[in-house]
Amino acid sequence: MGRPRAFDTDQVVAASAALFATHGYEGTSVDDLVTATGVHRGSLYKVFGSKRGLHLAALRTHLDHEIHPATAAIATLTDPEQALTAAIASYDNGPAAGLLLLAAAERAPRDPEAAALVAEGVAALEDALRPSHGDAAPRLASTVLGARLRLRAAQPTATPSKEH
Amino acid sequence: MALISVDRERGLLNVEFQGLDKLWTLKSRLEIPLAHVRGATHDPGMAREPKGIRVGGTHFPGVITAGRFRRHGERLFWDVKNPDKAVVVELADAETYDRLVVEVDDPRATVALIERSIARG
Repeated sequence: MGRPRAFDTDQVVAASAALFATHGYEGTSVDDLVTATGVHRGSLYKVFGSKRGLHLAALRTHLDHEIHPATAAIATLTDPEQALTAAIASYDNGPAAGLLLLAAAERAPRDPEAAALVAEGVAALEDALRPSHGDAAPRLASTVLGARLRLRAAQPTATPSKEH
Repeated sequence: MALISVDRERGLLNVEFQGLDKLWTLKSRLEIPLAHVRGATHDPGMAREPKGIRVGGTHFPGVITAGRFRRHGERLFWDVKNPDKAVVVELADAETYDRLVVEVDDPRATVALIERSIARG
């Protein structure tokens, strides 16, 4: 039922991911999402089911387009120092930088599906650090997550922000 | 105002309309299989959307939207006086309605209840 879909789902998810990464899940209203995506409210509900559905789609896309390519690149580095520096610079980055960190803090404790996606992203980071750091990879992954958090705290304007 | 509860044994989402809302909506309750519930969202801005055509029920703009409405080929069921407490429940194609927009006492708790219930199903 309803009108045919006249919008690019990928673009809607990308714009929503940037919004969630900037304002957090609770801080992003459906009004914000409608404004940023330019898509009718009814169409957002029809396609994604709920704000949660859209957030999970955004997280999935962020993993596929940012986290996994970045960790694949880190995995090719064998020099420990180089790998760590690259991970701190590129993990959970891109147009929705910090989306994974925010989801870990805000959504994972109460949303099992979000928790599974966060776990996938952290596991990818651990695996990527294994060629350079071996058994210390999980500990170094925690260092990377902490460093990313500190970077975000130190550069409040570094995250993409849409004024509206 | 509606009271939303979950009957786990029968796998149903129950939406009971309180007091005079039974009159405004022309319904006392809706029962929806949890398998047909796609999600729930606290959405105060929903009430500013055009309502479309009233099929059955009551519409005093700015006061109450209650009952069956049709817009862009979609079938919506409304029961909202206070937009701040509106929850949007998206339903599967098999259902009579595409979307419910109902006012509840505690939107955060209602959304959490529905999300928990459909995650298990």
